[in-house]
Amino acid sequence: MDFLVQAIIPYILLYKYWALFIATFLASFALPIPAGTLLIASAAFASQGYFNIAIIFIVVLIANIAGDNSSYWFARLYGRRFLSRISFIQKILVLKDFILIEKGISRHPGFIIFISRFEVISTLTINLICGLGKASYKKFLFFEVLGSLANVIFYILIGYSFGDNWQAVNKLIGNFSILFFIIIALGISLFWKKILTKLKREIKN
Amino acid sequence: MEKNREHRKKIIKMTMIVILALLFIVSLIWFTSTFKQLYRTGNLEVDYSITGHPTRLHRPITISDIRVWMTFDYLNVIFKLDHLYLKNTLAITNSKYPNISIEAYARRNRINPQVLLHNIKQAIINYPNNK
Repeated sequence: MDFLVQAIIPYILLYKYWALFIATFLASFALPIPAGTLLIASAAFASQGYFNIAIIFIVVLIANIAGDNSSYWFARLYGRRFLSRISFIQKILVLKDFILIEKGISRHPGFIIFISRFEVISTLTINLICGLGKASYKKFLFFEVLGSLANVIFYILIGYSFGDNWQAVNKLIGNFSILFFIIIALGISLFWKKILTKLKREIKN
Repeated sequence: MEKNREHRKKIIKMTMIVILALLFIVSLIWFTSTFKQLYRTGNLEVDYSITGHPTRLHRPITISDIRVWMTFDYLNVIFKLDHLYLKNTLAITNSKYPNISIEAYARRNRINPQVLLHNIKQAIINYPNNK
């Protein structure tokens, strides 16, 4: 189990739903906390009778939605002003490619918002890009709620189903997801030019 | 010259695609082999009685599953111990008991966490209901 999870789990055992709410909210809002692992662990504790699974479901879902929406609105209202103070981010924000991606995601946010809910870094990035690009809030909210719902059910089912074996399962998922995202990142970098050309064409049309 | 550069680019791209495909296949093989290994060792047994609460676990939690991040309250609930059993057996005087993790208690009392962990395991083994 990684260091961060080992540091947070005692707080979840101590402060129960409050700690889970805060950790999940922060993971959706700004901090790369492994919320999926925490949810698997909490669901496993529920299967042992230490937590109530229905309360976990409600608490985590609300925290996820609240965190994502706060992140979106923060990026939308203050994002550019705030991020332009950091010199290297300011350089990224004015890059042609970044503006193109921002526009592309804002036009078709559905699938990317939904799928990004399953990984903490991608959640934060997509929330930020959607906010900065002023993607339609209605669309963002719809796909964000749908994605959060799927994500919460997925992790709760794993934790609750595997019970005491959650650490073994979590390790397996963790290792595989790292590989999976490396492959995706390599794939994107390989077809980067094609993706940009396609985006340019779509935006022109 | 230009043709050569294009040709080299194509070769690099093809090599990258082959590497990606190989990486994907290797990771799939690795995933299935780890899954099989975990399944064989009994670490991936699913509890099918999902609708009932509390559920019956296929592999109940054992003494060897105890970790330093667990709290005394959690241990009391999971191993169905009397609320004061660990406190009395281990002579715990900390006012935060049972809402303190094993590691935090060990750190505050300058005890080696592994020694404390061992003592807790022994205490649970010796619990009257476990005999």
